[in-house]
Amino acid sequence: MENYVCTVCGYIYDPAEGDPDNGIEPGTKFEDISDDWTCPVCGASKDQFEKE
Amino acid sequence: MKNYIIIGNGAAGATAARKIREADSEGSITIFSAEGDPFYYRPRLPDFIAGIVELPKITLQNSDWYASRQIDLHLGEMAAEIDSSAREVRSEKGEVFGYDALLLATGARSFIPPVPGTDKDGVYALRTFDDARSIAAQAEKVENAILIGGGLLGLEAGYGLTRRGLKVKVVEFFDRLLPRQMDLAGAFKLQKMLEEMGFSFYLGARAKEIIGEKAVERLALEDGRVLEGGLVLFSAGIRPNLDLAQQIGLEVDKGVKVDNRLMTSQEGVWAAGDLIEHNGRVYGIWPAALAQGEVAGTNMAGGEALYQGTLMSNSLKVVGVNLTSAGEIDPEGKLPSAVFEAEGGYRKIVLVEGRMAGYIFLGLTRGIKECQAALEQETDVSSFLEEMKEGEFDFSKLIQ
Repeated sequence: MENYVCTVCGYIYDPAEGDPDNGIEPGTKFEDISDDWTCPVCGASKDQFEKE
Repeated sequence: MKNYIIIGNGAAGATAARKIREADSEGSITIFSAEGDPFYYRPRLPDFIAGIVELPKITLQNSDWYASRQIDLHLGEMAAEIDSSAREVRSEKGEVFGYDALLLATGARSFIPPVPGTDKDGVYALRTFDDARSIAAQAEKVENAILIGGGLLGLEAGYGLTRRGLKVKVVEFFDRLLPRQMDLAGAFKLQKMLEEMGFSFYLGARAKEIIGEKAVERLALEDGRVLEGGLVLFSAGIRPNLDLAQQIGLEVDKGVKVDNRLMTSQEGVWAAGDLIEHNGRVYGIWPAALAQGEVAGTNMAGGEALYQGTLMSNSLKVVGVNLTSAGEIDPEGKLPSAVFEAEGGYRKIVLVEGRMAGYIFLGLTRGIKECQAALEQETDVSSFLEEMKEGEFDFSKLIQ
């Protein structure tokens, strides 16, 4: 599974860790996160992420 | 159909708009914003000053985003007046809008201390994109800048200027950097690192007067020293924007008082972001404003969400250098501790009665997770006191 990086603030989404505070379980692939999820650090939308 | 009005389009206001639209596809949403730019990531303004990012790169929701969601965004047009009994807002242009739910998300402004001469050209504080544009334009013309306030945000802004090639003279009231995050030795290490980047420091000093004909030319300090510089940047904290809240008689202390749903003392009026006081706390930080915007937006649209406060992160970047500290940092260096110092790095682990009590990692990251685990479990690490002073220490030993 690949990491994705937020192009606005630099936060890295690591599928192994997920984003449990926002309901994304560890082990969730970036592609499987719902489209209304936003960057937990800056609030950027999912389409503002790039493969690391 | 419900009418929503949001005053302010920063982290809280823009996030609330998104949440309202997710929950209510029909309602009318109107936003007033003092700024001329749509929702952007304020913490990266120093990078704009440095000349390494442009506005589109740090824009979080552009004008198309609002238009495609039928959100009526009034940029550069603030709400002038609220009539909360009639549930109406009058804009600066004199138009009147009715509302069922109103969100005050007016944020905060930079505090400028009462130093004579702040009205001269070339004196700034960094808060908005317009501020950043003005500072960047002035930075083109001068070689020396004076930064008043050496806290985290000030140093970040100063770092933007040093990366543009300016010399930055920092005037700080405390006699050391970052007293809350760093012990004395660590603060001194950080200062050395910053000096290599183009900063110089005037610690334990106070600004007395900004001098110059029409534009700033120099700054006089209380102790008699005079600093040359064609740009003065204040970084002396922020103050919540409370005018509209006070105008309609909301309960206000340090900030606008809200309950856990982020409703103010008046039914139908909500507040989120840097202007609010929740459980006695005024946060003034980005992640808190995002979380509050989500809660307020959800509740305004008829949902049920509670704000439970925001944890302050203990990990941050100072001018590109990682700094993580937690627990007892032993600011004066009086407790047993394992200190390791290297080129570009500083690490300190503090023990109280043999147990892991706190740590500082500057420019180093290996071992933070293990130290945090040992801190949470109050692990007895006394047998590793000497070993932990070695750069190569195997931190997995702490969690076995």
